[in-house]
Amino acid sequence: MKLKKIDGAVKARLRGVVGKGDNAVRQEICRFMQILPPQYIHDLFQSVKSIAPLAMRKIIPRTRQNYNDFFPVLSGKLAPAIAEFRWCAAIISQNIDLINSFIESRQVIEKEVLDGKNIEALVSLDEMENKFGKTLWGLELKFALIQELEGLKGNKELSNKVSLALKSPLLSVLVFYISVRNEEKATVGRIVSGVLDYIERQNIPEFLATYLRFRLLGEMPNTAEGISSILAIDKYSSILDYYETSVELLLLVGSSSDQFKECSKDLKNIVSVLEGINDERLHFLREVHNLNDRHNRDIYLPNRTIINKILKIVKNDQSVLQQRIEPFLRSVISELRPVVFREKERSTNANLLLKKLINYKSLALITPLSALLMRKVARYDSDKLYPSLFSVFNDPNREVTTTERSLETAFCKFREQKYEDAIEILKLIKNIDDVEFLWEARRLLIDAYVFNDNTKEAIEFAGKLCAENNLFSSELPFEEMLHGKKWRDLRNFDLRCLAICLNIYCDHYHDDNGQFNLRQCIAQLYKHGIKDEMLEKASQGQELSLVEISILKDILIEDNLSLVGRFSCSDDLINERLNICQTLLKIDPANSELYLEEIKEISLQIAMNIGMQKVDQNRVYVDFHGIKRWAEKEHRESFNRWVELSEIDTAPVPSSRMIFNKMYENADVIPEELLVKPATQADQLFLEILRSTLNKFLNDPKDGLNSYLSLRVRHGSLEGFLRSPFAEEGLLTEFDQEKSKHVLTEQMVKSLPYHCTSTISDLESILGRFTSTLNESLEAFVKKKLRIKSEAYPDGLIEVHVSSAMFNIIKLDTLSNVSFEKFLETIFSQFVIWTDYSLKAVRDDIALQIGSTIETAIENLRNDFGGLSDKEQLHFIRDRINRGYLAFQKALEKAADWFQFQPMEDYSRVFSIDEVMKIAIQMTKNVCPGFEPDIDLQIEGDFPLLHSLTLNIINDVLVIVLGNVHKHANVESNSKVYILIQNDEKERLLRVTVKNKVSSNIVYGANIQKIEDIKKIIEKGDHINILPTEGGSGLIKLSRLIPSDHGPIDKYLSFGFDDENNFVVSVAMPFRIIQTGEGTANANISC
Amino acid sequence: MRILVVEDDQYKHDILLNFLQKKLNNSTIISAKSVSSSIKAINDELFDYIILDMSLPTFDVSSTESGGKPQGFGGVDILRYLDSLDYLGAVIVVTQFEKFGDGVEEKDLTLLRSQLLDEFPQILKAVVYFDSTVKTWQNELSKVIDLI
Repeated sequence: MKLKKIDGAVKARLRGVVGKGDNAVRQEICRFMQILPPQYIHDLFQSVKSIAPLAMRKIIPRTRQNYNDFFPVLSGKLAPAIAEFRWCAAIISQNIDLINSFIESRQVIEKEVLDGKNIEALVSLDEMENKFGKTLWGLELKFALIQELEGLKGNKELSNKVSLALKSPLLSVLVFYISVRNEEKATVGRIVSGVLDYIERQNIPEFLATYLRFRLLGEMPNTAEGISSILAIDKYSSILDYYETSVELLLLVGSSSDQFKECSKDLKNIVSVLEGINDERLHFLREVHNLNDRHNRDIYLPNRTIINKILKIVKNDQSVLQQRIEPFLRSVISELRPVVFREKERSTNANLLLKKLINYKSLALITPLSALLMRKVARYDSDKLYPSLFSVFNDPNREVTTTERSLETAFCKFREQKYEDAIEILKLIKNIDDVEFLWEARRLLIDAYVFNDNTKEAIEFAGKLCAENNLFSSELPFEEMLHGKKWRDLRNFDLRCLAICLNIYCDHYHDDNGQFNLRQCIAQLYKHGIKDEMLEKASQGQELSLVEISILKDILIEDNLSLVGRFSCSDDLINERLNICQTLLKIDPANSELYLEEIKEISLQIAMNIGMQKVDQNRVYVDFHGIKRWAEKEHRESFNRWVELSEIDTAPVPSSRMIFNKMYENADVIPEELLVKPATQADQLFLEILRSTLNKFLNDPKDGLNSYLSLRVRHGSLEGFLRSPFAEEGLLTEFDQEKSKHVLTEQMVKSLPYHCTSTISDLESILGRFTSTLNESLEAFVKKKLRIKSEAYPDGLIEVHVSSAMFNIIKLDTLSNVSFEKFLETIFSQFVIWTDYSLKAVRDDIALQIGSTIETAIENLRNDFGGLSDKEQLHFIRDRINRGYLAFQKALEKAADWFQFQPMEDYSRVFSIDEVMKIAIQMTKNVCPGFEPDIDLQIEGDFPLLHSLTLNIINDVLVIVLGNVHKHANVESNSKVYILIQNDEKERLLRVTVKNKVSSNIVYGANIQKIEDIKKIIEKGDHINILPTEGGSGLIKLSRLIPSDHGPIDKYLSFGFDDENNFVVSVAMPFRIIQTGEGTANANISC
Repeated sequence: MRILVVEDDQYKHDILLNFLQKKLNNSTIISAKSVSSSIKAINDELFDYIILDMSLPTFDVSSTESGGKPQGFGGVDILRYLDSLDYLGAVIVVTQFEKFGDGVEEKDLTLLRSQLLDEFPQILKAVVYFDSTVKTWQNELSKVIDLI
């Protein structure tokens, strides 16, 4: 009784709010959901939703079984696909009459369009809109018709009018889609790529983009969430669109047996689920398919746009038609071919479209080629099409050539499945002037081979045909020949032709198995010496066939070669391709530009790989030349005095080598020669020289080890390098000063499976802890441990003293060959040995201490996330942790390798200035994760080749300057940076100028003053003293790279803000020319 | 018994090795860290078992080698290669990821498992999810090895 009263009241209230929009109805229903039993709400909903069916959708009935499934929808999340389908079933069954009526009306309009009655169609469309409201289908057709009748102007007016009523990105995409579709040179490929690009640029939510891609381009989402989001799009669509979407989606889901296997199973279970809830409900699939069978199925063709396009072409004048029809038909055919063959369930639809095409007989009269194409289409169609096709060819008005007749006969044989006869006729069609006809005949021949199970002949013929014509066409029946074939099915074929066919097949079909077969085929080309044979022939000046050239040019490329199992490293692979390109350059002059370009790219890649390795290897470095120059000034005299004091006699002195031999013979006893303590005045002097030079070697702010550690490791490189694996996975948080808490990066927030404030806050707190641990660990290592041990840095890991052994070894070696130069060589080699030993502690600390700290932090992270109740989110995070940690371990190994001493300069490799700049830019990006500046690099003047030391110096400059841009400019990470490289030949200076925009809030008094202060420090020469304390400005570090003995420093370094909020840094480095053994001049920066 | 462990993650490799040494006493275990080196190992020797990771680099990573292009489904390539050789031993995929590939090629572990078991029913015995924090993978792997 009570319920009855409520029923009346509820219905009355609902009637009151129905006209007030979706939200009002939703709120009203929600209100009742709090007080009424679920079943009642459910029934109530059933009775009211026909009024505004889709507005109701967000108000999910609390039915016994699917409440939990639907509940997330109320909070704005996606329901599972199966839940969306269930809901869809209910909606459609409730609106079956409305949908039927819509389909009938639409059939009338489509007939009018097909008959060319566009104005009548437009009137009918308006009537439909009044009756059913706006639909995507209606809008699409209306725009198309208006454009046809009134041109773009009419279209624009309509667009403005509609946009007032329908504010959504959907409209703009729709209008763009129609205009692209109607472009003069439209092809299916162009329409698809154009619209995809447009959707991408609109910056619209991903769920809406998925919907549009699906509705306009027939692109099937590849995840269950994609399906859910499409079905959940109801707020943008009407019941009619909802119906269309669901039908298309179900057809696709049903035929995508692999990707949606699980979903398909669920769909099959819907009957029982629905019947279990309410007997009156109809089974969704049954219902949809009933509707679909009753009505014209072809309206759900995947490319409904094609029909409209064809109609438009037919309406146009014939000259335009002649230009456009052929490529267009080609694209139609290639589009449909896989549908006909692969997707059996959809082949009926595809055939219906073909039938429509053929019914436009006039098309066949326009060019003979069109007629041929149509026959090609028709032979895949049912027998019913055959008569209508021949009625086209039997048209008395059309002149038929002999070749056409031969083709016609061959085609008839083909249709009658007399493939051998067709093959015989087609083989005879040879020297025809009309290339298109010849090509058609050849294609038909390949088809005949395939249908006659002569796959071997088909592959050989197709391979040769493609290579000889340099034609890579998807219209050949590669799919029938190669789809699903295992390598064992193919391995006896002609390898050359097979490679070409597989390559074309892989270009056109995304097929992993095909890629594998191609790689196997290439492996066989190598195994049987065919590749070597080709290169050998070329080197002997013999002519290669087009097939062979094509293999070298298009198939033996890096992507295909990398996994054939013939190469053990990237260098081998890249050198192989380089070798092939160099051969091609000689034998195929027609494409020489292509090969030159590729050789240039490969050379740059090789240079970058070597250069980056060299920079990595030179992170721990001492400038021996600098120290030698200092020692010359400082210690030559002392050394001479030591020689005098030592009263060196001519008796032979045991060298260190002899002492080591002793040790080798008896490892338990330390040779007494190494234990001699400095006792004499000469020894004291010698010890003093050693200590002083070692101190210079380790601590000199310009040339010593500490200087290079500061520049190349501590200047953010190590921290950046080790943070980047986690940063790239979005696992590191940023500290928000205003909120005073850790926040997720924008990239992480965007990539979360779905957004929920509570989840984000949990993530921020857990990942914030992890980020702090990582930062603290790295900071402690870099600031405290990665130091030369001293009073200021008691935890420093690098500790080298002049030990008794070092003293005696150097002394003995010097005594055995008394010269200052030899003395310096000996001490440097000893310093390197002892320092390298000390660096082992650094390597161990990186591998063990940092490694284990982060391992524990990762374990904690995994445990913290173990409690996440949402499985999807748990998988998402766990996967990122695993990936990040794996990359981190590799980075750790690589970073440990930095700490190997590289004592000698390497002049053996030279780099062009272009290569040097690219290496330096890449190195900066490696240590500044997320920094992707848009670099405008200009090089003025000619430069000699630069050797690797110069590479290191320019790298240091760029890393410091660009690193500062990244840290301090406070602009987008992809903002523009101008780099100008100039060769001042007169002064022999290499000048690097970097200009970048900075945020306007950076250019203010305190910062400007700071820059001025730094300038003063540098002008006074105080920068040398400031540096050892570390943490100074990058600009001061830059000043250290400038020679102190070439005149005033402002000639070499200038920096500051300009009037347009740019920060400009200009560094000039003197260089000298080195004559190499081959007589070529290379440059070496001499600072 | 000869076993090939194809794994590029040193941490996971060590754990697997430890487990296999305990489980299959007296076995010879060879390691490969990339698609290329595993194909080379397969060409050079016969293995009774292959423990296979799914995402692998093209070449072995070292201080002078970045690893080349990462192969998100490198394990599948090795399975195909083994299949083309009519390999008679058993392969067990052990992976620590739950999602593979990017964009339209992205697959989750459940889907990948069913696809792989469908495609290589003769050689692939199981796809095991590796999580160092729990022992489930060890029990699962142990059971599969016992059944082979």
